[in-house]
Amino acid sequence: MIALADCNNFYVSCERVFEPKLNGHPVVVLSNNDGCIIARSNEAKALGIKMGQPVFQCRQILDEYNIHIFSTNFILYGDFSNRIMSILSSSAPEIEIYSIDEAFLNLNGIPNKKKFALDLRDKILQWTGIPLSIGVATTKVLSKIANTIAKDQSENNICILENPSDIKEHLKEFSISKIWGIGSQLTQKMNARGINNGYQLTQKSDLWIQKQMGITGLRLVKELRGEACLQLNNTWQRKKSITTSRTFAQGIDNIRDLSKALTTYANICATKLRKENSCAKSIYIILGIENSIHKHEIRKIINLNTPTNDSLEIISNCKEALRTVYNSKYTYKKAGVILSDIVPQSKVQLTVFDKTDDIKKRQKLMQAIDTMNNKYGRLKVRFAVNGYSPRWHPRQERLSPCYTTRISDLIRLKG
Amino acid sequence: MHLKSSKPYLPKIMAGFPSPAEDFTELSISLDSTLVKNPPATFMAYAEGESMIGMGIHHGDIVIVDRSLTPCDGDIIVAVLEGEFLIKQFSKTKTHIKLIPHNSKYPIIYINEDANFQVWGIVVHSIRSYR
Repeated sequence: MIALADCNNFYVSCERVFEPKLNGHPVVVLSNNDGCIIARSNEAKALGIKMGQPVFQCRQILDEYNIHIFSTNFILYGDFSNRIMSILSSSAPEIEIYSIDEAFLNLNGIPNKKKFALDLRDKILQWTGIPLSIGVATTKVLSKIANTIAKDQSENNICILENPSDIKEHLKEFSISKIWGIGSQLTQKMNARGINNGYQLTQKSDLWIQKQMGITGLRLVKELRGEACLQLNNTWQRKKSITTSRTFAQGIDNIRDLSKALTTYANICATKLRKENSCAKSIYIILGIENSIHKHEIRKIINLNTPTNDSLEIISNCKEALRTVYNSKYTYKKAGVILSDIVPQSKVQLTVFDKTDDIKKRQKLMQAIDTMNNKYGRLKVRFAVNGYSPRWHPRQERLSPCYTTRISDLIRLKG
Repeated sequence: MHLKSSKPYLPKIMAGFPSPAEDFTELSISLDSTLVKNPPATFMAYAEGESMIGMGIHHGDIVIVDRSLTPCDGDIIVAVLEGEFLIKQFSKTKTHIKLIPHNSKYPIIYINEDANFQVWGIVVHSIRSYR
């Protein structure tokens, strides 16, 4: 049996741990730059606020109901995620971390699944203050469905989907658009063929499914029928690409500030790359332009001869690329860097023109910078080109303190 | 506040007589592992005010809070009462719950059944700096 553990309204729940007076009150969390709603408490959902809705669209409801608004605090959410994942992995024989707030657990060998799920839920709520829902079933796809059902049960947020007739009843009620792995296009296609719920999908022949949905679709339908096809994936996978991009609070109309922003993102990407002991062979820079007439994105690719994770090299390439595409006519609203063609650092082939001694020296420099930043705080040591100007920093007006990672931000107890 | 393993101090290889202590190296003492028994359930906070002076907790002390423990009569706890964080001694009898300050200038807080009250965590250590 497989369980899917998924935190309830995760970002909101993290904020509430340190602001318990917000329990029972509507709360939302905004995206980077405070643009859109990315998390809602149940009370905010009940008021009709939609996921992904731009703030200006729901300004009136936010004000009228005095909804509490937070800017996104990924430092805090990341710390809670680590705590929860570490509790999950010490509780279950095997886990696959699926996202910041979800994990699949292998429950083989656990005799009483219901008791296990209830105890685990209670333990995580007590230890961290974060509520979660657990769905248990024979396959990953069914455990996702069980979790959705569990979320709607206000009583204990646990759903064990085991009995075949139960599964059938639930699948009949379950719209295919809500099934894990079925997107909006496939939903439309299936609806046009008269298939609206999960049960109808399980009744089609393998041949028909494969023809309509391909081999991954067939696997998905087999999982819906209760035949396990997807294994828990607990091996760590190297990222295929690494992206850092931001929308600016105010548009930037000069190359100096734009370059500061872009090189900062380049440095963040390179740091992530080093953390994974990887190197990248391609760099993309992205610039977003928006004015009254049009809105579009400019991309420029740089292919390197030798894959690298050296911040200085990545930064200077981004600067160079920016110079070739920059146009002083425009105001820039967004900038970003993507590193791709990622290979393990140990597999990098040097060319005859690479100077091994220089590369080794630079690797040492990068290591020293990473060590200092790990110790003294993110981006404390950075490059002069990154600048110090806060002008292009994303807007984060409602940021909560980093209660768990900064000594100055600890909660204060009235004694 | 995750546990960092401390590395034993290994001296550079000496050309002369090998150090007789080399076979007896142990890990250095780690404050993290001494004070934090259960990292995923442990949080830190500042104590403020004077009400816990009698228990040796002063304004500005850092307290280490373990949420995984069950509150027992006499524990120092972090309580949430009507949305506010408090640090007090927990007292539980068959009939009622009290929050006891340790400074005669402060009153005992009796928790009514309908109060919005929660034990947030158990204080397991406090840390005070002297300079």
